Amino acid sequence: MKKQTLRVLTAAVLAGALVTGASACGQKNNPAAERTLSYRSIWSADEPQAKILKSALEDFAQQEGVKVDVKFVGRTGGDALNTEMAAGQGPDLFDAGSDNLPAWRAQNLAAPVDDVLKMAVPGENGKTVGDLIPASLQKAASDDKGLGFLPHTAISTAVWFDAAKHPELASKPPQSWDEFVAYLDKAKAAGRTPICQDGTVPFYNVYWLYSALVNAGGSNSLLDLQKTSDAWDKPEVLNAAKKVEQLAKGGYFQPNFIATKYPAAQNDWVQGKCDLNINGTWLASEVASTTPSGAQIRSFQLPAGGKDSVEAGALGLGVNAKGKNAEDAKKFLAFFEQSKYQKRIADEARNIPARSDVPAPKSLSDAQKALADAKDVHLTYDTAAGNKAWWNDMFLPLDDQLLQGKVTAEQFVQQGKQKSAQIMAGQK
Amino acid sequence: MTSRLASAEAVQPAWAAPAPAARKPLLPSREKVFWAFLGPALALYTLLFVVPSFFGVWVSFTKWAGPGSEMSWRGLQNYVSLLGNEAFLRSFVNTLVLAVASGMIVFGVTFLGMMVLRQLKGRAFIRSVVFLPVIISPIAVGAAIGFLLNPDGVVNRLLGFLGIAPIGFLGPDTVFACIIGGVVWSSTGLYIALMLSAMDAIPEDLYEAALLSGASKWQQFRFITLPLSWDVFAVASVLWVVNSLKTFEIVIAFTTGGAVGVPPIQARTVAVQQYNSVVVSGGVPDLGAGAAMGVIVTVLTIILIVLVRRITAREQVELS
Repeated sequence: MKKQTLRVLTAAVLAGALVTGASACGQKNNPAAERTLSYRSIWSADEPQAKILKSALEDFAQQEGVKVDVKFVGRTGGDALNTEMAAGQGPDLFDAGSDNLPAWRAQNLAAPVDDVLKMAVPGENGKTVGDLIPASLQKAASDDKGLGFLPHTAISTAVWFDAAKHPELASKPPQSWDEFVAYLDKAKAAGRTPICQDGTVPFYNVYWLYSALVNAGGSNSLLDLQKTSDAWDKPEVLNAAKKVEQLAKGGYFQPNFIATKYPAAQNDWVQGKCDLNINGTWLASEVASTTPSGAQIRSFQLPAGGKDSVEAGALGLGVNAKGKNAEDAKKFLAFFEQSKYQKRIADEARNIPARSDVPAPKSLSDAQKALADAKDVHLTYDTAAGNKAWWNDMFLPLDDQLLQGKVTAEQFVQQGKQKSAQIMAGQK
Repeated sequence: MTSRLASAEAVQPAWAAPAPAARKPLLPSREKVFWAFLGPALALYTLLFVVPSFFGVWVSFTKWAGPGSEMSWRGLQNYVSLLGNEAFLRSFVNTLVLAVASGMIVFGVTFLGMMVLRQLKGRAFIRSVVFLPVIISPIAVGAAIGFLLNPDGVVNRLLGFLGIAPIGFLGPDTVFACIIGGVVWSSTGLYIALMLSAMDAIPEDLYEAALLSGASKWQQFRFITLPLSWDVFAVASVLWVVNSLKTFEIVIAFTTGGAVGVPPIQARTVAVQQYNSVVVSGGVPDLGAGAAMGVIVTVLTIILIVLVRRITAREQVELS
């Protein structure tokens, strides 16, 4: 009886194995059936970017016959993504940006995507991705290993104002630092608060020093400060610090600005409680719910003189170097550069599309023009934020002190030089 | 009171293992079962906790950006760098201050609650109310903090009615004091709940006798409540040490809130500093430094737990 049962079981297992094997063979003969593409997104499902990406992935799935698996996990949901990807378990596509490309590269997780530049974008008369994405944004998504991700959105930093309330800034924005300070003095004399600042966010506070230094000096003028102590002795550094000191001493920010918790200051700014706010190109999108009707958000570059360099950063999609479907992932990168999706980046996400031939929303037109016209561009924070110990533990706190007027420009340079040397020695 | 203990020692229970001499020739079946039951848990614990812990110690001697990147040996350099890092030292001091100062306030309030709430009607309701902050999401706390403590927030507006100029509560120099307040607010409920549960087990007749003898509330607490809930207090103290040394969310809630970025140095704890060093956003992760911080905090935790256990060690009081 036992033997008979054993025989029946063996036969059943063999038959099962044969059926499974046959079906697997069948799948091999039908490549479309086994093509999959996975994407883990740090956008939340209700954000416009998530909706645009979702519909593009659905279109891609339908057109290419690829099964798409997409999860929108929000900002913190991506914290362990690098570990997962390193273990070979991660998605094929992930969100990347100019600021975190060094981190993805350090773990060899961002596959080179230079070959995507040669791919034709569907429905664009044979134009390739490389034809449509401007060189400045290609640079923003590249490092010494080449193109690390493909941008779908351009980001930059600017000084923002409401043109409905301050038409003089729209018609004639400040062209020099002196003109800028003259405007601040005029606003203050008129009883207005010139600048709203979310002071509890150090990397917003540093926009002043960073823009004053790098807009004037161009690429590497900030990055060099963490590489050689001598860089601190350059007159441009003291000059930029003096500009920030001037802002601190001028009393141009709202009272207790350093204790203002994000996003109170930017909301106050859009509601007209002050004239200006320095921020990224995502500002208009972030304050959309509190923007009064009739407001005309515009921007100008902080006039620091010198090279008049413009920040060119990018948000985009990277391809997991350990992913299983790199070919389809790259195909999707080209697919997503179609003008219909780029227009939605402008219209729905209220951001600057990566393609310069797709117009940004009105609020971002100045920033898009500044990027397009720039003779010199630099990457977000001049990539200095990549060195966490230097950036988070030394530079940002010291800059906060400068912006509060707790240290002078000279003390800032002296302490920065000394502390940088200490950190550099520790990192050797 | 110790009679039960004495009898427990004198009479060997049926489930106890026989003396070692008797065990040698043949392993009792009970002991085989013991290992069969313990084995899987022990293996899992070793695999999922002990091995990663030792790996963490190893990583603390290296420079490493995470799996997939090259790991290079740094010896003690990560520890040396941390000892010279102003931000880390400040975070370490902040963590100690949180553990000690906040601990004293939390248990002070807890003891006060035990004295006041014992006879109070509706104490179950009050217990629920004070426990509420424990379960509130840090994200919600973060949103509320801005609403309450911003320069033009509710608190400053109320102060304005009293003629007091707005205070920059959330500025780098003052936010840590607010965080201590937040930690006390968000965690006291847990310890009150724990200690009140212990107090509930104390027979009411002891308090009645004390009342007849003319004992004040303080004396009732000092001579009845505290000794008879001491064991729970000892456990709660250890829990506090462990929890306070990994304070993280509340710091984020009070500082950067919803924005990406790092809190000011003055507000950082070691857990925050460690997080900043290992996450991908905003720079190349430095897992070596993060692991070194983890090792230092683990050593500190062990030292503090041993200290707390020694301070709270008392002869067990048992009701007969």
